[in-house]
Amino acid sequence: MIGRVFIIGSASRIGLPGGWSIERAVHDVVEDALQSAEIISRDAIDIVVTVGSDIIDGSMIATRSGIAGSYGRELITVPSSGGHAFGAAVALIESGSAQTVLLAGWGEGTKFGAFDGRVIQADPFWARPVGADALALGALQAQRLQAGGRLSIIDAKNYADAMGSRARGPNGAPLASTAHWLMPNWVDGAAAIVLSASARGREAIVVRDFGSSFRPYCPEPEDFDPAQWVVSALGHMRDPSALVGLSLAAIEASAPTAFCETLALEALLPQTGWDVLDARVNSSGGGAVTHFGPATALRQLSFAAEAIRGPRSGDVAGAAVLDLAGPIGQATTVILLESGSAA
Amino acid sequence: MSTRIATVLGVAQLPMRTRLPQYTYADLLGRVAQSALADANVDARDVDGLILAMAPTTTLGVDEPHYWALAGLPGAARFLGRVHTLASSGLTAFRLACAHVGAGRARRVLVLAADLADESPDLVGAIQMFSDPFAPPSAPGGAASAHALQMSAYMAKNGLDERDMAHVVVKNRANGVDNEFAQLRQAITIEEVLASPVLAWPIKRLDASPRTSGAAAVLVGPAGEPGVAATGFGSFANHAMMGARMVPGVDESFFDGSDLATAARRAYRVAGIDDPVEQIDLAEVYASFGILELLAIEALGLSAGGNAARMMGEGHFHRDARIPVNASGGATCGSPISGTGLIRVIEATLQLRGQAGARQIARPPRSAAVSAIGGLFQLQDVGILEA
Repeated sequence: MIGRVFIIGSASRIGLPGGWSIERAVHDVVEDALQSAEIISRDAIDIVVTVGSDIIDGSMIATRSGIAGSYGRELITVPSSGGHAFGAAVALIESGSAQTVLLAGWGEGTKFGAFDGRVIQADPFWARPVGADALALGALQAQRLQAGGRLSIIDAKNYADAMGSRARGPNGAPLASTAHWLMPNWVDGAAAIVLSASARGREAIVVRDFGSSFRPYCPEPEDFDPAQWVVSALGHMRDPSALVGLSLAAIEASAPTAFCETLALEALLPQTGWDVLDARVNSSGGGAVTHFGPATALRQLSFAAEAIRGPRSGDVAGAAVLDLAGPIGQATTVILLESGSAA
Repeated sequence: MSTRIATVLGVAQLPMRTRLPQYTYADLLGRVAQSALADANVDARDVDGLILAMAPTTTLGVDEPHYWALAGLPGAARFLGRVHTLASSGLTAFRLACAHVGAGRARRVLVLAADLADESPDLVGAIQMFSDPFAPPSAPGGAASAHALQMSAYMAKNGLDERDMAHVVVKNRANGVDNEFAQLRQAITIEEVLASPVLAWPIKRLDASPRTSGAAAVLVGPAGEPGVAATGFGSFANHAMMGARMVPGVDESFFDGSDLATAARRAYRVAGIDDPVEQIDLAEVYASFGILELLAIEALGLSAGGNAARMMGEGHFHRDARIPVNASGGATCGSPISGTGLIRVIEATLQLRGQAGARQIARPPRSAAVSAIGGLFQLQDVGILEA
């Protein structure tokens, strides 16, 4: 009998240089997440799972921030995406390898984003001679889906501006003043999630299910649609019908571009009746305008968990997190959470 | 009776070489994946998960190779992630595959690893780029100098000389002669080890594993299926600022292998092993330098602390001994960084199946311990396999 997995704590933060240290930020979000989980002993963590791309200080930050070897005393790095790292953390708990896992991710987008390390994600002798860097691939994706009538550039720009305003918030969080619709808006960021086999008597969030799908660097011509990638990921869940009957109270999405992100959301919005700019969609501002690499979606996961945390009148509130990592979101993971009486 | 976590359904590796100019990285993954499925007699359509062990990527020059190297491979549509724990990546990825299968999240997960060490003209230089040059390095010097500190402390503490220490690589190189996948297949003598150039005293060139290209694959299935079973895993991370730990008397774990011993105790507890000398029939341990094998033998509880070198000189841990260690020749005879932990799993599996060919140990084994180390003794992994 495989037991349930609970999210019992979470924290995230983003920023731009200037009083910002990625090591300090990682350390702080980990401490904040543990505090929100009411974990006061480092020995309560069995395994630490980290995510941060190689180019964005994937490994060394774990050392320099002091989390590697300090919490849990087991460390596994899954740098490909926040969704993959989340899946590893859940599987380790479900298989009995761990009772409690600390999942931490980070990225220094402002340090490396200008050089856009994504250009070395492809074989230089295969894709690059035809100009297929990440920006070109994104443009190809946009062109195909715009031609199919799925979304206009104006819509994508409006979405990016709205998400940028939302992410900046009333206090003027340090983000670029204009969000781009076809490129990541690089920021520095960090997020931490605490998962456990036990709710520990708290108002925990249940991991209802998750699934991943994957496309290569350059997908087949008819397979550029992020909404279809989300549908594929849903089909790869332990229960492919896990979304059915889940009353969504929040949706969070992270993709490398605003264009990709809003298209991915189309896979879920019809069942909610919400507009893409609805306040229940991406209260975080989404991942495209606050992008810090493969770990970005952990911030969305943190916001989704917070959105449905708290006492409810006996009903089950659900949340969905869409993680589309990679140059155009090819590494897709969908995570479904629920709270209320289910917890 | 231990509990089966998952089953090794199929294994495959390619012959290790310094250079593999006939292959691209994607070729290596494709060929070894195909061979593992053939070994398992499983159709590609029945694979529903894929995990890639690849670290560090700087040697390949491509940051995230899964985006271009996995297309069309079995399980790629349900890629579960790339694992990066340095030379422990292969064993960590195998553990994660067992977790996904054990949790019922997937039924058959393919674990792949490959390295093309010759993509970079300077492997050591490429690995040094792994550290942020603008921040204080976490360890002084490179691997050879760090393990030289370890080796000299071990020799001083246990009253050993360079000749005593050379038995490890001489034993391994003799074993490698019979391993058709080994990169180095020539036996060497103690005198040749002692006469080889010093990298960082007391480590000499023949104490070190070579620069290796290669590939490995393991197909993992549910516990109920026939095959070699994974029955226990244990890990330990002691990652923080290795440089400050490389002083005898400050933190002995770098010098006595006690962190790996912690990982072994965790794995043994899960697998129900309380007397490893009686219950472990062979070991495949990651040892890029001879000193690491001695520390691993002691950490796995196969000899008392400080005794491993003398016992090896007396013939213990050789292929015809009661508990052979690295009957394949181990990393001494070839060590693709991303795959070396997975190759330990493969070699142990072949021995437990009785399919190791000329390197098969004489006494039919029932259980095996495998181990890997990531970084400079920062990440430790141990796994237990049973026939």
